[in-house]
Amino acid sequence: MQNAIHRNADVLVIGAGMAGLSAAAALRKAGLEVLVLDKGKQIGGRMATRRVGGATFDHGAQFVTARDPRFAALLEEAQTAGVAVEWCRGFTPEADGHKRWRGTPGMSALANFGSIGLEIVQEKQVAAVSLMGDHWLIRMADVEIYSAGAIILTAPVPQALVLLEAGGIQLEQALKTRLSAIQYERCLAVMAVLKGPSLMQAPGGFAPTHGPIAWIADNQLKGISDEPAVTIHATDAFSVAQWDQNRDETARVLLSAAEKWLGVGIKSFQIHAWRYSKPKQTDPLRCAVVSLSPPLLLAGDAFAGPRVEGAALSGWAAAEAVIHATRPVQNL
Amino acid sequence: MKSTYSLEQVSLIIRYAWEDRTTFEEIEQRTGLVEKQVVEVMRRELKPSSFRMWRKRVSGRVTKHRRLLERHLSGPSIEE
Ligand SMILES: Cc1cc2nc3c(=O)[nH]c(=O)nc-3n(C[C@H](O)[C@H](O)[C@H](O)COP(=O)(O)OP(=O)(O)OC[C@H]3O[C@@H](n4cnc5c(N)ncnc54)[C@H](O)[C@@H]3O)c2cc1C
Repeated sequence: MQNAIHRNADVLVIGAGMAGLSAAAALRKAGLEVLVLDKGKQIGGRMATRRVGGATFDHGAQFVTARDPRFAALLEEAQTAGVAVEWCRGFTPEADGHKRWRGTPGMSALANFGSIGLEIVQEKQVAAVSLMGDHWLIRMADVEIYSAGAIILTAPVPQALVLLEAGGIQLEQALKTRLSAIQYERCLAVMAVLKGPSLMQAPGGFAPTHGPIAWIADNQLKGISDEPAVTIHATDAFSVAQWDQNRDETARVLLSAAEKWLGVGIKSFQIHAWRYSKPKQTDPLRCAVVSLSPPLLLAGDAFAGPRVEGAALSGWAAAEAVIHATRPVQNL
Repeated sequence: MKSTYSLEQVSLIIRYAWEDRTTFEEIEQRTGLVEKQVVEVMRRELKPSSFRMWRKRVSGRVTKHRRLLERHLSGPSIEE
C-alpha cells in the first residue's frame, strides 16, 4: 500500500533542533496535538554532543547566551532541572562579562530537556511537502506518507525550499526572493582525544583571529569531558576550500594548526562536516509564513538570530502563528 | 475597469477575499490579482453595504496580510 496515509497529526514539526522543539512545546502547551520528525539519530540538530570512550565533545553549538527574557527563563528552568550551568562570562583576552551557558553533561542535554513530553519520530527524513485540499501531505524518504493540518518546517532554509519545491509548492515571488537570499557558512569540526591535558587556559575556549581555525575548545576545562578532548572548528573559508578534500587529511591540517594550543600527542580524532553551520544573513522577521490556510511556517536560526536563542524565538513565533491560524478568528 | 474575469473567477476571488486566513499574498499567488485589484473586484461585485463590511473586516487584520502577521510575530528584535 504505497499511497496510504501512514500517520495523521494536527501539527507536524519537521526538525528536532532548538527551533522545532521550542515550537512543538509551545503548541502542546496550547493544547494542539503535535508530532515532531527528525532525520537524525539524535535530537538537537546543531546542539550536538558526542562521546568517544571517556571523552565528551560538544561539536556543534558551544554555548548558549540569552538576551530575551522568555529564553532566559527557559535557561533558568533548565538550570533548576540540572541540565544547564554557567560555563563562563567570556573568553580571554577580552571576557565581556556576558553569561555563557552550557548543557550538562553536554549541549545535547538541553535538547533532551526541551523534548520532554513531546512525541518525536527519529531517523525519519522528509522528502517532499505538498498540498492536498485543506491539509498537507508529507512524503518521507522511505516513501511513507503523513498528513497534517499544519506544518512548521525548521530545516536550514535552502533544504526547506527543496522540500517545498519537491512537493510542487509555489512561493509567492517576494517571499521566494527573500528566502533564496539566505545562505549559510560551512564548518568542518574536528574532535580529538588527547594523550594528556592541553596547554589551554580556563575556561577553555578560544577564537583565533587568523589561520584556518575559528574556534578551539578544551572540553575537559569546559567541564564536560573526563578525558582531555578538544573541539576544533575551521573557519568558513577553510571549510569551503577543503570541503571535497580527504577529510582525514583536512583534520590533520587543522590539528597541526592547533599544535600550539594542544602541546600533547593525539590519541584519536574524528571529523564532522556541518554543511549548514550558521546563517550568513538572517531574515529580519522571526519566521516566514508560506501559507496560513492551511498553515505552513518556516522557522529556525536564519530568522531570529544565528544562534540557539534565535532558533528558540523563531520556533515560538511560528507556533504562535499556527495557534492564531487554528483558533476561531478574532481581530488581533 | 472592464470585467475581464469569468463568473467562476469572480466567485473564487470573492471567496478568497472573505476568508480570514487567506492572505492577499496568497490571493495574488493563486489568482494573479494584487490587493488593490481584489479591492476593485469586491467594490464592483458587492452591494455597497457588504463592501464596507468586508473592508472593515480585512483592513489591518494581520492574518490577511502576510507581512503584517510576520511583523506582529516578530516583536522587538534582539540586538547583537
Ligand atoms: C559549529 C557550530 C558552532 C556553533 N556555535 C554556537 C554557539 O556557540 N552559540 C550559539 O548560540 N549557537 C551556535 N551555533 C548555532 C546553533 O547551533 C544554531 O543556531 C541552532 O542550534 C539552530 O537550531 P535550529 O533548530 O534552527 O536548526 P538545527 O539545529 O539545524 O535543527 C534542524 C533539524 O532539522 C532536521 N532536518 C533537516 N532536514 C530534515 C528533513 N528533510 N527531514 C527531517 N528532519 C530534517 C535536522 O536533522 C536537524 O535536527 C553553532 C553552530 C555550529 C554548526
